[in-house]
Amino acid sequence: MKKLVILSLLSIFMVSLSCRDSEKTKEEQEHERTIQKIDSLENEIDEINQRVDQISDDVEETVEDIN
Amino acid sequence: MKKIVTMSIVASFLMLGLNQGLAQSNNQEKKEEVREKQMDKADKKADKAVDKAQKQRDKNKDKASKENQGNAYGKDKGDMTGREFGQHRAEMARNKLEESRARINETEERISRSRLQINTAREALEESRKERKMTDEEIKEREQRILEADQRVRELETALNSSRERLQRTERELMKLNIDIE
Repeated sequence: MKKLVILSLLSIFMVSLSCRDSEKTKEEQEHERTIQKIDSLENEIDEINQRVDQISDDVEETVEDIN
Repeated sequence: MKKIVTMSIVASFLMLGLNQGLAQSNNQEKKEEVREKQMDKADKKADKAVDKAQKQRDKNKDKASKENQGNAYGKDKGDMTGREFGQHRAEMARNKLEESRARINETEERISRSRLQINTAREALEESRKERKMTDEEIKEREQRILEADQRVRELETALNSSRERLQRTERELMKLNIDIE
């Protein structure tokens, strides 16, 4: 009887440990995904900046043409 | 017999605890290493963006955009948690977004100035036509160039508007992420 109680306690302890670990990993993965998303948004902003710079240069050039 | 069973159970508990501790510390080290690398990468990217923006500012001699220099790129981040790191990266992205918005406004002003210049050129041409300072051929040629410039500026204005909309979409997505982080 005692053995049974001890074994069940041990298994409960192990299960709770593994659950806690998997929860932590899940949270880490979530953060990782967020960081990746931020990276891709930053790349998007870089592309927009390049396009805006190009437009700005083109405007300058166009006006120089008529002067 | 009972003593042996109890001892072995206690020993297995201890082993399990030790293993968990070791695994966690190893895991932590690896995570910190990865985070450190990500931080370096992010900082390099941010520094590059700041340099580029600085060059642009120098080129345009725009005093207003200098306010955007105060960002959190160089701050101490030795023991940041995943959440803190996410917030740090989101802050950097927000700074970049502000910079981009300033650039768009700058370009819009440039377009307005070019419209004025085109109008001035048109008026000057009209005057030349009245006072017969130019031949008909010269006037026609000049008229054509002004028309082309006007069309080009309109096209560029449309392109700038779509860039602005794209930036707004990006901003909305970034805000959604911020809600998740904060």
